[in-house]
Amino acid sequence: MPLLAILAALAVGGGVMAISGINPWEGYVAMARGAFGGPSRIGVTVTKATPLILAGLGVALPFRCGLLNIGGEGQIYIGALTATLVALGLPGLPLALHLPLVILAGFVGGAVWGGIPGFLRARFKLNELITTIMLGYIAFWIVSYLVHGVMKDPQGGGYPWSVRIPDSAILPIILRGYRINLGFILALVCAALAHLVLWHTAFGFEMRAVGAGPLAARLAGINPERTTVLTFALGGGLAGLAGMAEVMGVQYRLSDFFSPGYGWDAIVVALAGQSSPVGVVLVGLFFGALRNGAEGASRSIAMPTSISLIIQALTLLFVVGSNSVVLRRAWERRVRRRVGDSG
Amino acid sequence: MWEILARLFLSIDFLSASIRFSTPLLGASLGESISERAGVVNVSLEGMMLCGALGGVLGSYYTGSPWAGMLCAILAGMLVALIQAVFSVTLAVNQVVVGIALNIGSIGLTTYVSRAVFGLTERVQVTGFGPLRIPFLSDLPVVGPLLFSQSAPVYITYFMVLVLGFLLMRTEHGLGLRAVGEHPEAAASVGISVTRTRYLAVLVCGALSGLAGSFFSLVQLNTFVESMTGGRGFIALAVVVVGKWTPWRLALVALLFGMLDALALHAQALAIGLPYHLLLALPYLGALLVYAGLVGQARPPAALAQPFIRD
Repeated sequence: MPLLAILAALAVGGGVMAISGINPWEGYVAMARGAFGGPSRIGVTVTKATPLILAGLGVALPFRCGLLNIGGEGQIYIGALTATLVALGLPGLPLALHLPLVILAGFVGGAVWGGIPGFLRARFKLNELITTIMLGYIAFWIVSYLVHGVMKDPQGGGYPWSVRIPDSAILPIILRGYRINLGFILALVCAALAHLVLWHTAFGFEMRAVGAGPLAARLAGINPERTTVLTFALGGGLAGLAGMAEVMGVQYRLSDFFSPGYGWDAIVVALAGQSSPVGVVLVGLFFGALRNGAEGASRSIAMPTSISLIIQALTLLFVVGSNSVVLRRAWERRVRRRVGDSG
Repeated sequence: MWEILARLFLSIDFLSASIRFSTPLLGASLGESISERAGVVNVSLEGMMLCGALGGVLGSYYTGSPWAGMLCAILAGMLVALIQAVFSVTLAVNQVVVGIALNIGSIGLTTYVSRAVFGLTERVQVTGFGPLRIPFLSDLPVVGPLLFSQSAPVYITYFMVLVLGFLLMRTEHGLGLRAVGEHPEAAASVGISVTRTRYLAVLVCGALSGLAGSFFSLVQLNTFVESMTGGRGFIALAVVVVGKWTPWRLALVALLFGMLDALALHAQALAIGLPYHLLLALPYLGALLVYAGLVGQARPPAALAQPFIRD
């Protein structure tokens, strides 16, 4: 079903290109070249999919628990900040010790930032749609303040970014020709772990039970408040890892413009991936290709990169629409009538 | 520092800016309260406002008239609302997820269109709304500059508080609308069309949110900037809950939130020692604290976000 939705979204996206005077065929060929034309392009696609998969998992798991985490962008920024602080604050450590600490710091930072809306929801019944968004903006301005101020690189030529992280904190390149770094493996491992937690642990059962109905979950002896906070912290932690992976694997510096909206893409990745870790990996890779392809097409035929956002939104609309009970009933009625006619 | 703040809170400039900044929040939250009273939640408020902001600039750019811009802003907001309504009401799918999709699509579409029309570098200035001084009243001390020297969208939005308050609470149509949001089966049984009422409510929300979005591009900046609504659609969602879905309360809450925006702006000029980037976080932190502190015992319409499917 999501495959059909993606095709439909690409079709409408082609219509948008046509209206703005770009031949859709040329547009998509340019995008395909940008996303898959050669090892380095494929490498960038996979690298762009990495934060989408991690932050996408950070939306998918809370969604199973009935929570919509739309503040992934803020958790990405805080995770990147805490990871950078550990990367810059503990120089001289060997890579085998430093890198795990940096990864952990990214997770913890995101988990704290994600835990706050979880707590506010569990304790005060505050709507997470509002709290996560507000915390997202606050996170961005905190990082912006720091990289314009105390964390600013004195030799950075005036750019608002931190000094370069030491080599012992860098996610190493694992596929030389493709420039794919360890972050992608981390994302795949996290997806596998998320699948295990969701379907094969007591906590995963609790999450799904609370998502199905907090009252019934409480009758089954589950504490929905505790589950809510923990799930939100877990989701925030995964988004924090996305921010860590982008700084430690791609940019090597913290800035206030390192994420081109990965937190927003992550929502679509999770929901279009039907909140399943496998779906998140597949849709994440597709949207990584879409983003990379749009950037390629922007360079080659001057197509605005925002076409990728339009196609993403359309994909999500078509996925949701195809789940419509009303549509399914109408379809069944039609089929039944046909069968009745022939019989 | 406290003395400076006290003087700030009593200054006409600050209070006038608070009223100005409350306008987009009030417009969008009025629309959203109508829609939620009918049982449909529009997380797409942000997208409606953003499309309204671009629509306003395009309308004014091509005609030279801010009024035509305002009309285009309203239509742009209604277009987003129409998609939201088709998915929420006709297809009966998860309203929140549709809203999220529309927000992301609106960021993409407005960026795409503004680049296609205006190019990458150029920032085109269009004719916006200046202050509209009401004869005689604007000459009164204090209230003159405060209340009667605002721009046209501000008057229109505050006038809507009275109109919608009356329609919602004092007319049969308002009663029908509220019934649809509380108990759609009962409303349907007395002959009210749930589908038509909800479509109408969502479209009204789109119109008001589009108008609210044009505030950013036709009153504040007279140009379009990517993602210029900056999460105000989500703050408006908070305004609706804190204001308990009642027009006059929404106006008070929107004023309070408007003060936070005005504070960020004025504190910058006053140089009270807070750094610029943290001041920009202030409206969001303030909104979060006000939302958390004032939400109290809010009871949403019983059928909110519940699709109505006839068997």
